[in-house]
Amino acid sequence: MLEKMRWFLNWRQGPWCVTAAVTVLAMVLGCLFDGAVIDMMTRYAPMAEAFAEGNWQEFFHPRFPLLFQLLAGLIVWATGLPGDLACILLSCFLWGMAIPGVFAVTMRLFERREVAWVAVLLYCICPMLLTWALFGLREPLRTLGTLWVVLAILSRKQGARSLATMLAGMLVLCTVRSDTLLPALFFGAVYAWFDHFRWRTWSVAAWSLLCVQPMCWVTYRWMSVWLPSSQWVAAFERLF
Amino acid sequence: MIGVGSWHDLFWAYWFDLYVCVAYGVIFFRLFTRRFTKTEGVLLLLLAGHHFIEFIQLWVGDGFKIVMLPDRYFQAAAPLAWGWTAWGICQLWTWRKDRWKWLVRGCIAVMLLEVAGYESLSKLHHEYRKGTNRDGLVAGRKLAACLLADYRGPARHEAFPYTHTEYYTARRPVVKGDEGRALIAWVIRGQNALKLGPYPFPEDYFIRRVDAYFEELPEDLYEFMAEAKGTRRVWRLYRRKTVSGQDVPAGQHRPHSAALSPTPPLPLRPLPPSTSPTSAPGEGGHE
Repeated sequence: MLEKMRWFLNWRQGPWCVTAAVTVLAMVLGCLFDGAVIDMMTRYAPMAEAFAEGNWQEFFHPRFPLLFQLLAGLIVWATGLPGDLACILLSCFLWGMAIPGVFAVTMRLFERREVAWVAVLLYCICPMLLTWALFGLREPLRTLGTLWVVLAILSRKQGARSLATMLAGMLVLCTVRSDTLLPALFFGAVYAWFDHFRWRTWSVAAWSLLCVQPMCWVTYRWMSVWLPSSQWVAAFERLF
Repeated sequence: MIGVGSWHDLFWAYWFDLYVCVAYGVIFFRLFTRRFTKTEGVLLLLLAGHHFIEFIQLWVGDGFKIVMLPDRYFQAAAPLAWGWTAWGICQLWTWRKDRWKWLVRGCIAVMLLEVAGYESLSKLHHEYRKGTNRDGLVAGRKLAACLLADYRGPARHEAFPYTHTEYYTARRPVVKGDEGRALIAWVIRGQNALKLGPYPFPEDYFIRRVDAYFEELPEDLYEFMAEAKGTRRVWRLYRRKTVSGQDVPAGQHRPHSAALSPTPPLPLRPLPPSTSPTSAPGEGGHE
């Protein structure tokens, strides 16, 4: 059977076409599902609407890094959609955008397209990740950033392409949640180890530090401490 | 300190689902048969490192004990392991060349259909029809009309002490109570307040779910306004009576009878005007 499907497995643009189709389907499902979850309705959706209103006082908060709310806020500002629907659509879009990452990571692992396609199938039918997307949570963005960073580490011999993927992944992981910063640091350390601490390592390090600065500034304005979130401040108080 | 229940959570946080159980089985198989490559080793290191760091963060964040291990904090990295799961499925698919191959392939197809059909679709269907959150959302939408007809106070607190521990806005009315509070507060574009959280002002309304733990609120503090059925349970809306300090001045609510009289569904209130757009975060709100 796999031999009969060979044309599909070898279809070069296949992952992108499947990504586009599945993403559109997920966004339609997101509109129809009418999901509700407290985290989104009490935090991300009001923040997105605050951004669209220009109410910076209620857009910035030291507990919540900016990226997801910023993207959702841009949708609210550009389209006039309510904040919850903007979060759901964004989350479903990001969930679909992770498909090429799943495909590429699996290809790096086994160099077999049929295995990569099965991994994509598993991703698409996985109940957990799709549910979070339909609830408008930040997890799909976190998954996307993690896949990009891991892909960059696995394809580190590809030079500029790998570096660009790493920079994009670090941007996401440094600005999506406060608990993704330490994993990002760990991924960066592994990247540095394989890169033998050459200029790419220092570029990634400088870029990651730069990405963290806006949240450090927010935390500083609220708590007078130059740390990336209020949860980090609490952890430092416990540890030291 | 880690309790027994927490170990159970930890187990599920690591061995999240069927996919990853298959993946770990494949990893052991590939190690045993010496097929495990360096690239796989790197990926396994990244996955294990991610989970270990997440665990440590939760442990420190909860005061050096495990209060809870939300599975979604770990599962966001789960697709890293699904390459092994996919490899295992492909190997099983082509494992037998004789007549038994259809039995093997049938089992795989049944498993995938179980995940796609039962796990995914039935979970979504159950969440849509019977989920706790949507239960509150449906009831909240019904109660919102009553609440909007009743509330005549300001759209925002004039001076609001923002807190870094939780995201609260200066919006009003403030709804406190069970999980439904967040949903009804969002529908009316008000503000929710955690039942035990550090919201700085008294609430305007209280919402309770009628379940096994239900208790009527004290009559001297709260006045019953209305109830509505969600997808599963009945939710009750109460107005707070007490007037003190920053609370709603007397007379700003409509009379009770007006709130309970049939009112046509009201359109959602337009978003309240923002505070000064140039105000910096934390101004007047530092703790």
